[in-house]
Amino acid sequence: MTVGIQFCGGCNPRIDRGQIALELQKALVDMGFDVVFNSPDADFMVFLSGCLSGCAFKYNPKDPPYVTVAAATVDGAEVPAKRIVPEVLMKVRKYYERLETEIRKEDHERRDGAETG
Amino acid sequence: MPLKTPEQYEESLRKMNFKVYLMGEEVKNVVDHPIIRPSMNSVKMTYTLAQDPQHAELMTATSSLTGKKINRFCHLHQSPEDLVKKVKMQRLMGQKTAACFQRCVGMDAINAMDSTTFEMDKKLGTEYHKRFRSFLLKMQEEDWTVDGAMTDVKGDRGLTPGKQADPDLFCRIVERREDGIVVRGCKAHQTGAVNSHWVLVMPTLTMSKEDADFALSFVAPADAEGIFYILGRQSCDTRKLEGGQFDMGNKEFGGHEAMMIFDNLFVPWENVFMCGEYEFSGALVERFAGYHRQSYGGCKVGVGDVLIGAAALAADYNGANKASHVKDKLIEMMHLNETLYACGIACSAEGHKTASGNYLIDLLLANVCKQNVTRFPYEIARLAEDIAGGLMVTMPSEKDLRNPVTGKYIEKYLQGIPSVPTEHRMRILRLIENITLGTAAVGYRTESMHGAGSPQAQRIMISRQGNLEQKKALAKKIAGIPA
Ligand SMILES: Cc1cc2nc3c(=O)[nH]c(=O)nc-3n(C[C@H](O)[C@H](O)[C@H](O)COP(=O)(O)OP(=O)(O)OC[C@H]3O[C@@H](n4cnc5c(N)ncnc54)[C@H](O)[C@@H]3O)c2cc1C
Ligand code: SF4
Repeated sequence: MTVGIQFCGGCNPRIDRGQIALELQKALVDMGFDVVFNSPDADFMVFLSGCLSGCAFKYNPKDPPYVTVAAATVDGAEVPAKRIVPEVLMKVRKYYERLETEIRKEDHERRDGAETG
Repeated sequence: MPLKTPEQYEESLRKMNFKVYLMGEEVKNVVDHPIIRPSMNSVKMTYTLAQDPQHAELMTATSSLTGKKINRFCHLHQSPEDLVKKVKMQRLMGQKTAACFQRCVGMDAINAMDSTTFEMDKKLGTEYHKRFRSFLLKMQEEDWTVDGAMTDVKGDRGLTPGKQADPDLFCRIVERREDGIVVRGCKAHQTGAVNSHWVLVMPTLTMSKEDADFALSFVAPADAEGIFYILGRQSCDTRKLEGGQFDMGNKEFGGHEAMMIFDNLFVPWENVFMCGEYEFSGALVERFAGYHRQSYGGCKVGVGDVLIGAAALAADYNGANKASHVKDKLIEMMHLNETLYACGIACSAEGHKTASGNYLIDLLLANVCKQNVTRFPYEIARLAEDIAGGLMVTMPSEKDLRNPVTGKYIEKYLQGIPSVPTEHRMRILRLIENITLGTAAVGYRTESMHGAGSPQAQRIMISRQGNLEQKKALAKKIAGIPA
């Protein structure tokens, strides 16, 4: 699975977007994901905005499922700055697990269908 | 090559053949001259940040002409969001350089030219818009920095251009030829002139029929035969010649302004965008000024961010940071700075589409923005000086700090709180001096006053756009007075 990290322009950031992106990238790669920056060509997006204006989210395509970070908030909920990376990773993991479950379910259904049919 | 690297930008300037004078001498190597170099670094930063994924969202845009990714400084704004992003980009640039980064003037000029030439062609059947767009295409492809040249020297302010003792006091057409025109005159205060690839010239004010020869717009390579420059001085500029690390306050970045003299410059027709059509001079001036008045709601705010940070550090370093009046002064500085930003964002969010398709700011709000800019940076600077203390103007030089005899006394007597090295305290005070009184004060103070038009110019626009009659009607209705 490829995770995209989309930066805002960074004119007045309240958080260290570069550091957060680095930590996310490292953890995601360790988890076996590919990471791309500023490209919608991904299975899951992290919109990483410096302040609550949320420009990374506002001005970019929202095709794949996503999580938004805007200042010290994740998906709109306030979190301590230190918790941003773990919260995002949790959301990515949850999405991935849901995806796996769905794929497994689909496989089962296909197999069941083949047996009854 | 729609996005030049910073190195390619610097290299491209080295290939140019500018004719430049500074302090009585011709400058042979403009790029490396210690007084000019910091200003080049500021423009270079517009190329550097465009390559940075952490800033690309603001620094780049998708060209409406080619669909390619280009530097926002070469972009025709396509929406209110684009106008907002422009202001945010300028704030970012101000934060990164603490100086004037010069490239806005050209961006504002192309946006004003686009809609004006479109309307000219529609009404007059001319081909100025086509010519302009073909220049713009090249500008975007080559990622050029363009100087926006509007302000004439203007001689006797009480007289119209044609009535001046010397007709060259306003740029004018001196000859119309089959292949082009010959131009003479001088543009004053030209920001970033010798860091530019091209110059885009516009009339300085609304021209009347009698002054049609002054209703003139064109582009020319900045190093064309027939153009030369005399660079302006900035206060404390020669500190850049002293070597050292911090007496100049901002070692790496700066700005410059120059007299730009057209000495019988020949301009081929394909580069001429207005030639006597005086009835469109007012629209061009008004739109350019409007965009530029919006610009200051971004760039001055970014420099203000640095100045506020420096003032707060000065208070941290001398131990006054907990005093309630110091805290309150920092709050006031932030309040003023964010008010400027709010004006920049407001006039952008209220922008509208022009006939040519690009977006124009709300002119009333842009003029309100600039009117505030003529005041608030002065108050922010005053408060910074208050917090900094008198040392920012009486402090010995860096050389005295390095001198083995005097250095130890400076270390001893100029320390603030013991945990902060004296040199750090001196560095911050020099930065405050630089922005409030030194080379950067040119941009932060006097340019805030006069750049994009002196305060009275905005008041005229505010009176024109303020809709006073509607306000009277509202009052009459509430007071029960028949309409
Ligand atoms: C740092 C800096 C950078 C700049 N960069 C650029 C640039 O890149 N490109 C560019 O084109 N311009 C640039 N400008 C020029 C700027 O637009 C002008 O400074 C501004 O338009 C005022 O013109 P002036 O300096 O000639 O002032 P003046 O015209 O000398 O004005 C001085 C005073 O006289 C008043 N006054 C002048 N004429 C009249 C009149 N007819 N009636 C009543 N009052 C009058 C003014 O309101 C003002 O109070 C820059 C200016 C500065 C300071
Ligand atoms: S999200 Fe905030 S910091 Fe990022 S570009 Fe937008 S306004 Fe600037």
